[in-house]
Amino acid sequence: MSTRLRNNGLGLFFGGLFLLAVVGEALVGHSDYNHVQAAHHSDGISLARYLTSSSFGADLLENWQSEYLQFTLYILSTVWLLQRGSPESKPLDQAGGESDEAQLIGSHARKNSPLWARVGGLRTRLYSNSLVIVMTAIWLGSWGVQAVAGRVSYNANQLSHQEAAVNLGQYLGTSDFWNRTLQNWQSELLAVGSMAVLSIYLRQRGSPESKPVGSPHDATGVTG
Amino acid sequence: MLRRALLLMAAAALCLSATGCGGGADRAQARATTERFFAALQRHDGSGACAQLSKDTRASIESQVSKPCADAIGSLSLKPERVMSVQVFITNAKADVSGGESVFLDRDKEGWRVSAVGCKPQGGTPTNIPFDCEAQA
Repeated sequence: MSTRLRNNGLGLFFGGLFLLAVVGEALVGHSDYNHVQAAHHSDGISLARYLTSSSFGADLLENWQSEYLQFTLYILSTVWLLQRGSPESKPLDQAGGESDEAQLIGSHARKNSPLWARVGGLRTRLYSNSLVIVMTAIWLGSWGVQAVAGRVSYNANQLSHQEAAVNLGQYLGTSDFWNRTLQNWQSELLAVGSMAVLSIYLRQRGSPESKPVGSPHDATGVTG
Repeated sequence: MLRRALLLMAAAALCLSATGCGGGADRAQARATTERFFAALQRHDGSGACAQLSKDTRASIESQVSKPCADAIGSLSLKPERVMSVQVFITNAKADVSGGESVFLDRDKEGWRVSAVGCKPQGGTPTNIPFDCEAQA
């Protein structure tokens, strides 16, 4: 049992923190929503009603989409883009999709390689890009739900001020949609870019996200 | 796994695209409140019409005309209308009526109540400029 826990610690730790953060967001989001309702001389809504409302959905999904965009871009850009001295970069002579031999696919696959890495053809091509395909699908899906839910939340506010509601196409052109989107994108891009650059000069002993403490600053693609 | 996640997202999108989940009942209730308001107006039942208004809207009408709401509501330029369509977004709704005007509603603990009535677009883009209403909270 303890070995299983230890071997899955990273996933369990972040899964647990995620659930705690969502519960916290639900509770304070509900309180904030009812605070705004009170300021408009309106009655509050129950927690259950808030959790199924588009207001909660939009707040939740606008963050999800930006996280999945960040990691999708990172996975994809690190195939071709390099950063001298960064453990986040591949060695400087390995930009691109690399050879079948290096990627252990087709005739270079090992006995314990996944089936779709061994079979070749379309299945191997698909499997070779499966991480980005799934991350992109989740990004676009959550961005779409953000737009749909954000429109409902925006329209509730419109109607409370005796203004007409907007359709989805109109909502995609509003500053509300792009403000929600870009305020999340900028923070994610800053965080991931600064990690790639700061890790050239700074170290965290024992972390695979860092170079070994004694590695020179210009050592690229080394993790420790 | 991916198919399940995508189905879940599609269900969430469908659910959230209405009023949040359970929007059909809210739409029917908002429509019923608007219809009760106009039915009371038609039979000159001031108390019945005022009972469909939100507390703040009643107070606003009373301060506008300096009379109890039941006596004041008849002096406003309102006539009975048929409800043509209703939009609901979380706790706010808008009913478009036969004369081309709109009624705005809020949902409080007692249910849906009229917050603004006799509302006309002021020209320009109605999504950017508030409607001009005969009475509002």
